[in-house]
Amino acid sequence: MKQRLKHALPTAALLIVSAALIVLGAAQGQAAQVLAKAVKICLECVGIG
Amino acid sequence: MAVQGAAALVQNANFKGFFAGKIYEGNLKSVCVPGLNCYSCPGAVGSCPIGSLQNALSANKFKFPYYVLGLLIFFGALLGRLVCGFLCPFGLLQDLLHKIPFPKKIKSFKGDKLLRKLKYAVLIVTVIILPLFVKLTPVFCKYLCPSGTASGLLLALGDNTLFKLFGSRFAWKACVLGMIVLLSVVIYRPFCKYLCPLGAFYAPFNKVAAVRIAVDADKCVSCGKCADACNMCVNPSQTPNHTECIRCGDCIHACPTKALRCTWPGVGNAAGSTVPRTPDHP
Repeated sequence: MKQRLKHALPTAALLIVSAALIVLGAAQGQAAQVLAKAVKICLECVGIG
Repeated sequence: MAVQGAAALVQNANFKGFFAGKIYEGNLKSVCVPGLNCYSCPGAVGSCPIGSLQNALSANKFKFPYYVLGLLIFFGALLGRLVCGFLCPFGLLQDLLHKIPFPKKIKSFKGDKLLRKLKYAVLIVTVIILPLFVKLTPVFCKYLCPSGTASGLLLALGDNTLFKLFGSRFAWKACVLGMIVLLSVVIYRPFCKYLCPLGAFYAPFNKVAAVRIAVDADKCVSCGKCADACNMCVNPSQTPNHTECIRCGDCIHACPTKALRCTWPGVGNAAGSTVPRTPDHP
């Protein structure tokens, strides 16, 4: 049981932190910023810009 | 390889884009995919996490990139470098290239260990520090990313007018891509080992991710077959959750005593009668 908990705790903590970050970022409109960049051809990425 | 192929197809499901030379413009692109898959690939239906991170860091008005970082930590905490082994389309490309017969495949060489640290420098310098100071410039995407170069080529195949726009920067990036392609035939996953900033980000998560590898010390006979099978030059019987392990599973298949196994929290560790005794699970 202890072994199981030792395995699961850091993972669970990181998952909770990541979920909080995602929600916080989305609330600030960062998902929309990701979308705005991704729907246009990234000229730097393809080697033009 | 079937899982890798399926993952690459799912992440690049905008098939008509390949023929039209156009990228997908739907809302799914507000979510980053776990692997290195340029959002300018005509098939891409999600966003590249490394491109999105650089874009957020190099924005004129800086805001801490909670969203992209949250997604990256989520993938890392859940899967670690299993993303590299199974979900990254560029990893699949390198795997396929490595299957091409070559007289002398190189598994390790002098300086290999040191060179593997380079990917951490690429992450810190070109993905984090330089975009923070050189505004509106995703340095890794602009000068190094081979996924973007391949995307450019795929776009140009669908829309020939793009070929006229390719200049010296594209020539440089094409050289980088060409080197990685050639090296992949001889060395297993050279980009993952030495350059990939995404692999560098996920690497530390291997020790704490939900997916891990455990060694049953009672079954292990220290025959070394797992280490021989590992193309990333890890010794899974000693360090099953090494930062270089991409969870390909070759070691598990190679183990004659079934001492290695993939574990999830609550599953695997306690499923058997023995408890794994490894440096990670003392």
